[in-house]
Amino acid sequence: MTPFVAEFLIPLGKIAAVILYPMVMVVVMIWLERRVVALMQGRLGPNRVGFQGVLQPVADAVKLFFKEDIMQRRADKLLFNISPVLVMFSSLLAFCFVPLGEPIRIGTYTLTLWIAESPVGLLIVLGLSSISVFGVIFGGWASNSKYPLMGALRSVVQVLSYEIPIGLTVLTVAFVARSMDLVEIVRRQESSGVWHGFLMPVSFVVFWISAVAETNRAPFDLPEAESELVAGYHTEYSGMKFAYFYMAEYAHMVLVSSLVVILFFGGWLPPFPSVKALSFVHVVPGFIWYLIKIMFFLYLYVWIRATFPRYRFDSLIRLVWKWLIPLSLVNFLAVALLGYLR
Amino acid sequence: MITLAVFSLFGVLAVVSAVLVVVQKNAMHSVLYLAFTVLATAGVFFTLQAEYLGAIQILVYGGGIVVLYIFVIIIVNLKEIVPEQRRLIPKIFLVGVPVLLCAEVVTLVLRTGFPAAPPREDGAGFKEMAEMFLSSYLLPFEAASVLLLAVLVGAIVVARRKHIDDPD
Repeated sequence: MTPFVAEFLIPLGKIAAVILYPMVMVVVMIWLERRVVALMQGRLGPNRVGFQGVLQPVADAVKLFFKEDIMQRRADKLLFNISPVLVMFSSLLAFCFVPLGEPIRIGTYTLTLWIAESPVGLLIVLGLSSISVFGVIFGGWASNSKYPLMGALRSVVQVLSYEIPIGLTVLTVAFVARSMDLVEIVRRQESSGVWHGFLMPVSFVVFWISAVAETNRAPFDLPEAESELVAGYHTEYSGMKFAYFYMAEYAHMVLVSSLVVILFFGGWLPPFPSVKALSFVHVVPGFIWYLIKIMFFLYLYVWIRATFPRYRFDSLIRLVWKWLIPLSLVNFLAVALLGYLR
Repeated sequence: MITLAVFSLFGVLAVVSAVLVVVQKNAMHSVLYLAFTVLATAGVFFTLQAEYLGAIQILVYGGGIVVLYIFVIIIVNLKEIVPEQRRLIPKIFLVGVPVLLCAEVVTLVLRTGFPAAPPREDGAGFKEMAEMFLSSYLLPFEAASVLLLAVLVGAIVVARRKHIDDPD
């Protein structure tokens, strides 16, 4: 392989993939969500554009692209324009650290299915995903309108509160895997033969609840509760800027699902690797296993949304400060103690 | 070569946005540029292979402190604050202290030059730092955490005092 391909074309391709992959997943996710929620509620959902309505998100995107971009006169221009970019930026940048599959060998060249591997990858991903708060609060404030400001304030309180249990449960994973490197965490699950989700179910459950809350999804979608706040922080946005907020929310969901799969369910590893009768699982490439797993968690998002009613804001905050944080603290102590005794 | 280019890009970005933080009249814009400064500094740390420092920079300063600033600006309505009239002595301090600090940094840099750091294993600093925290610097580390705990308890006491009759 020539150095030109190895040092220029492949990195370029990877950069394109990191932008395209979340976008494709977003399109799939929007279609899946609308159809599945409709079927769960006894409706039909979009089924006209393309086979079973799969092209509906594309049609929506075209519509949004041609819509008039409205900004009211007293909005803060700089902040109003930059916040959709900030939200999108934080969601997409974190994907650089997400390993999508096992490295592929092409002759002497090893193609890794991630852009960056860092000994503190986990911290960086958490930090980048917390940056999306900027976009939400700047957008809500710059709109110079009451509902967006309320939505933005709610969102920040919610995201900051739910970051604490996320940090504490991620700590247990780092403790068991003895690494904060996302690739290394998957490798540890391969060598130990047990996925962390089965080893530490409490960590997984707390992480998942907090992750649903951090992505502002139902039943924790208080920042955009349409019965109270019209649409929350993006009420005043229209056209492509609104589309950015919308797509960033879904990209964030894909990111969180990827994190759950990597931290707790073995990333690209096939299930039951040691059972002889199921040896065909090794034939399927790791990327496919990864996709199957994150599709399950994305489906879970939709399922939860269609099943549970929305929380009230005070019970949402009570849930995290009175239940999840103490639980994750006790869980961390228990994991540390058991790990020490073993 | 590419590392140097990326380093310079982040460095320039950090300096320019830091200047914009001070120059801006609108407090919210200042915070936006402060966020840019924090992120660009994290980028500088990444190009210097100080990945742990970069991650903590994003997590603590980006995700925590800047958001706190935004909160304060929203809650304290800044339109009501009148620009205060400063007397001569505060003005001298306002200019003198940054100039002195700048002179100190410049002399230090000129005196030591730019010695190359010894090459080390990728990400080795992270582990060494953790070990140092829990061995040779255990006492300062614990003292800092006790101090933070005291601040946390104090904040709760101050916040709760008004709502002492609150049944919840």
